[in-house]
Amino acid sequence: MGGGRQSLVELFEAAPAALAELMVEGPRGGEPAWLPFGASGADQAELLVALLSEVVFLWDAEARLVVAARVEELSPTSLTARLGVIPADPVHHRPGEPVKAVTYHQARVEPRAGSWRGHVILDV
Amino acid sequence: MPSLQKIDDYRWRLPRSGDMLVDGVVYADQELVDALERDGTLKQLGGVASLPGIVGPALAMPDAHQGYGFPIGGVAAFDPRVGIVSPGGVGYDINCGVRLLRSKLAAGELGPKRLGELADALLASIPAGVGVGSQKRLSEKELSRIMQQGAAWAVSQGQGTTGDLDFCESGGVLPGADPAAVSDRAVKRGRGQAGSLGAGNHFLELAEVAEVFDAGAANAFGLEPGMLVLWVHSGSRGLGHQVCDDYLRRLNQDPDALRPADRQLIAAPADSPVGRDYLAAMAAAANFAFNNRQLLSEACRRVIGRVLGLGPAGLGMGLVYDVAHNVAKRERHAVEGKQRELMVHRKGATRALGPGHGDLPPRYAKAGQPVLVPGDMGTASYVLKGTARAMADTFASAAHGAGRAMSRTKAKKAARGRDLRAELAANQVIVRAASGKTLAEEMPEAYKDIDRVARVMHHSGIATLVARTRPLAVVKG
Repeated sequence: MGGGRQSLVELFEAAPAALAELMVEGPRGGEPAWLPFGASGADQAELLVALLSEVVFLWDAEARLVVAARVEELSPTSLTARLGVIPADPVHHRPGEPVKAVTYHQARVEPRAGSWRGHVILDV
Repeated sequence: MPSLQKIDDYRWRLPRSGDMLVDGVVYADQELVDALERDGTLKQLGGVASLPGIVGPALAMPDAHQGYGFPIGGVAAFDPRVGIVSPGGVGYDINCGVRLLRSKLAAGELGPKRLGELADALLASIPAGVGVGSQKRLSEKELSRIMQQGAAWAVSQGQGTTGDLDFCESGGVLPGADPAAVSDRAVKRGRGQAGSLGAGNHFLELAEVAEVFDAGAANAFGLEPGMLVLWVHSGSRGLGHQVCDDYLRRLNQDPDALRPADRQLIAAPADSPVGRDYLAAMAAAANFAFNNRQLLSEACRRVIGRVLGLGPAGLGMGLVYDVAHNVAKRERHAVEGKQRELMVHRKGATRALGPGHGDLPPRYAKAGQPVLVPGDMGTASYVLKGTARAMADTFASAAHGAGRAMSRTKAKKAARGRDLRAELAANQVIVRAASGKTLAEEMPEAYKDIDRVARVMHHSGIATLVARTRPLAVVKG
C-alpha cells in the first residue's frame, strides 16, 4: 500500500482511512467516535506502521471501522492522534482485502518531489 | 549477493559472503532456482545467514519464496545460549499449520452433487474470512487454558479424543507457554476466533487419495487409494498476528535488539528478557493454533456426518497428523556428530522427523513422520515421510506447500475476467469461498508446481513420496 500527500501530517491523516477502505467496503456514514492514539518509534516509517496496525486491530478485535484521523502532534519519533471510528455494520459492510497485519518490511516514509509518500507492505 | 553454486541436481549453495556467518543451502531444481533468482529470496536467505548464533547453513526449502525479512520456506537453527530469536523468523501467523484426516469413505462414491452439498455445508457451518470469529466468545480464563494446553483443551471439551494428540506435532502443545506474556490486545483478538478458519491461504479440502507411492508408509498412515481425506489449513488467527506485532514493536524499542537492514528481521538474544517473553507468548499462540485446528476438524467431522447421515464410526475420520509451519522450537539435532540443543526457526516449513525418532507415535516409528504438503486448490497435495537425510541435513525440515509463484496483486490481475469457479469445476474441483477476492488470489497459477516441489524433496532425500491427493471440494476462507 502506498500513497502521497502534500504534507507529512496530511499523509498520516489520510493513511488510516485509506487502509480501512481497502479492508472494508460499504458506507461510512454517521458521526464517528474519536479514540486517542499514541506511538513512538525510531522513525516515521515505524510510526506509520503502528498507526495502520491500530486500524487492523480496531476492526479485527473491536469491530470498529476507522473513517478519519486527526494528527495532534507528529515528530520524527512520536505521534499523537485521534482516530475517528464507526461501529461495524454487519448488513452493509462487506469484506475487502483480508488484511491481517501491517509489516515493517520495506516500510518507508519519504519526501518526494515536494510531497510526502508512505509505503507499507500488508500481510493478507 | 553471490551466485548459487550447484551441489547436485537438487541442492545449491549460496556461498558465505559479506556479513553472512554461514553458507545458505537451497533445495531446488533448475526451474525453481530460476524463479528464486528473480525475487528477493536469496538476499533474504543471506540476511538470515548473517544472524548471530546461527548453526549450520541457512536453508531454503523447495517452496521458498520472498517473505518479510525471512524467506517463506526458510529454516535456520541458532544456538539458544548465544543466538537470537526473531518474531519475523516465525511469521505473523504463528503455528499456521495443516492437518490431514483419513476416512472410511471411498471418494468415488460421492458424486458432484454430494460434494457440492458438503462444500456448502462446510462453508455455512465453519466460520471463515478475516476477522470472522467463532460462534462462541471465550472467557479470558478459557483462552488462558487454551494457550497453555493447546489441542488438549479442545479434547477436554469433548472435541476429539486423547488419541488425536498423539498424532500432532509436539502432542499438540508447545511447552513454556505463558499467557501473561500475551498482551490484552492479542487476547481480545483471540477470544472470539477459536474454531474459525480465517482467510488468505487457509482452507478446508475434501480430497481423494489419487496415487500411493509407498505402500508401507501409506499403510502406516492409514491411507489407501481412492480414500476420501480432509485437509485443514489454519493457524493462530488474530491472536498470533497480534503477538508477532506486539513483539516486533517491543523489540523496536529495546536497546538490546539486533537490527538487521530489514526491520522485519529484528531479533533478540533468545536468552534475554524480551527473547524469553517472546518465546513464551509464541508458544501460547502456537497452542491456540493447535487447539484451533482440533476444533475445526471436529466441526468438519460433525458437518460431514450430518450431510452424509453417518455417525463417527461410519465416517472413520482419524487424524493422520498435524504439523506446524511457522514456529521456533528448541530441538535436539546432530551437528558435526554431536547432539546439540538448537532453536530451530521454521517459517513456512514443516518438521520432518525420520524413522525411529523418539517423538514419533509408535505407529509411525518405522515409517517416519508424515510430511503434509498441500498444493494449490486445483492440482494436488502430497503426503511424504521424514527421512534420516532430513535429520542430518535440514534440522529435520521439509517444504510446507507449493509456495507462491505470483503476488496476490498479480494473481488478482491475472484472474480478471475469468470465472475461476467454472474453470475449477471443469477440472472436477468444487470451490466455495467466503470471499471472491480470496479465490482470485489463491488461483492455481498463483502457486508453484506442487508436483515439482514434491519431486525435489523426494530426489534430494529430505522427504520421500508416500501419496498424492487430488482436490474434490475446497472451502476457502
